Amino acid sequence: MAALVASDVSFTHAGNVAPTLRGISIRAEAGAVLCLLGPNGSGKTTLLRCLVGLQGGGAGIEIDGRPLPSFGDGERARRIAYVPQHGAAVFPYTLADIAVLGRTPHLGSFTVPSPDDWRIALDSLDRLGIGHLANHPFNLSSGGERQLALIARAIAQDAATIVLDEPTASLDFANQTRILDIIAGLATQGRTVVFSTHDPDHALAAATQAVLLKHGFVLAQGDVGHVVNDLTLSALYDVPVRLVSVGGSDDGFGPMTVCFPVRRNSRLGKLQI
Amino acid sequence: MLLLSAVVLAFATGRYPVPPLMALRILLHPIIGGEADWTATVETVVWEIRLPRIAGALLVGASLAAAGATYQCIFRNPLVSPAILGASQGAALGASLALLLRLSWSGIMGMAVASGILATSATALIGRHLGSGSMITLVLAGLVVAAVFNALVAVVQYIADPLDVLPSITFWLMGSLNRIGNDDLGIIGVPVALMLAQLYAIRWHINVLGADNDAARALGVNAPLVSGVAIAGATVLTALAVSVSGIVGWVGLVVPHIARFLVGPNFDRLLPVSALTGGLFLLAMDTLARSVATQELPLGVVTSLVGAPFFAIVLGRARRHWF
Repeated sequence: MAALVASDVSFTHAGNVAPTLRGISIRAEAGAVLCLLGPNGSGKTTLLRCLVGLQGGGAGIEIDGRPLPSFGDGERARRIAYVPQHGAAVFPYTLADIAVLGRTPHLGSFTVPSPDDWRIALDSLDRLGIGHLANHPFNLSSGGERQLALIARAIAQDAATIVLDEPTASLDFANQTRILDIIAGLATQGRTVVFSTHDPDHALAAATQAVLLKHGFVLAQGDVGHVVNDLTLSALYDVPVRLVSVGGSDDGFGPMTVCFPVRRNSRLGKLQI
Repeated sequence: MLLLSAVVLAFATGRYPVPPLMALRILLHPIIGGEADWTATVETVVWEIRLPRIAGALLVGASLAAAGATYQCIFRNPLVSPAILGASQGAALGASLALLLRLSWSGIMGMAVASGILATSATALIGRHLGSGSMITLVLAGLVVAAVFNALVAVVQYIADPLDVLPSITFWLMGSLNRIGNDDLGIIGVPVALMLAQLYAIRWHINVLGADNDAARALGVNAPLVSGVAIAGATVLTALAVSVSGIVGWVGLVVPHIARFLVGPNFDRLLPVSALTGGLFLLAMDTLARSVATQELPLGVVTSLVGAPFFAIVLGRARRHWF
């Protein structure tokens, strides 16, 4: 059964004339890792927010075969978790304070997190390797630590489907790799993961399915190996893109496919930047 | 402990000094009995004058501080308070209109609540219209609303009877606790307790909004409902406080910062600690107002003199987190 289905989802931001999403239909099978690729302004963030019901009121979205609007607030949050791109707290919350927010849908209406809930939150931080920073202020943490804390919150939320908005944005190589490993790890536990990224390599490295989004339309979707290729990426980003296979058994790494945009070397010089 | 000693000290201080131990024995006399070695005058001072005033200070201080903590958390803005959002000035208009019409206590409180909610809604609407990009927009919206309601209060004062109603409005507006009597304590105490209980019931959902407003819905929190209930609760608390004591500024702005410094930003602990600290703070300020000069100073003047410099220190300490 599909964990997450969007059928003909359209969305126009208030005050805009042109719709941001135009009839999007996608599906993510249970246990799949679905990667959303697309240039700036293609509607990735809006689509992800629609998938979790933060925008559009859940119209056209189904979770585990049930329409999203039919879920209560807590019920929905126990099925699907959302990791925003930018977490920023005004007040000096610690990483543990942020992680324990994930327990909210499991609490009664008028109760606060129990010692068990705090333990689950601290465990989530531990599993992402930032347990030692539990009492560190979120605002003073690095971008990578904040991203990990927000993912820990989603893990503490214990939802079968996790939606992440550009989880690798503005992170260094080590942290990007760490996040991709975590995404793959979540999938091996049977969770369904949907994430967006600007780096097609991340789709090739961590995803099983890909959706290519441009101007609010789905350009292509399907298995990553099938959909992510020279032609589709070139059309998606309007620059020539090449995929190559690198690595082999002799250097200890399996062969992997990476992609890069083709630059005509003389062009930049002629533009005289 | 601190609160208890402050209360005893407050009983002892004033134009008619009473030794702290004697004040304590007078208060406990109905319970523990014993020999009454004090005059009837002292007993009247303690029971009829000091008790309602001290209870009033605790109630007003707790209300304003709890309201301030709630506003700051819901709006995710450390710069807002009942006075800065215009809620206090809104309540003041309702209450002074009620004084003009010579309404009863419940009339004053009802008018203050209605007018306070009107003012707060106006601030929230203008703030949303200006855009939520910066913390300053909401402060500016509050400035606009407060100015309008201040002007309307001035109109009420202008048309009020200069011999009778005007002095009572004017002195009350400056902030004072000497209008409250023992009979009024229940009228104000019960709704204050109800509103504090309402905020305490939804303390965790308020905390979620304070930590992450954007994703609160994805965490299973009905953000519009929780904000609405919380803002309404805070505004009613503000209006109740204003109808008792006039505009006592800075308590609702400064005390939540002190409480956050003491127990951290999580609202489940911030709310009770703010309320306790607010009560203690206002009691200390009122005791100061009664004792520092031969003539009693208006309470609002004292809280401004102490609160404003304190807020400057808080701003300096926490600036790097906010801007």
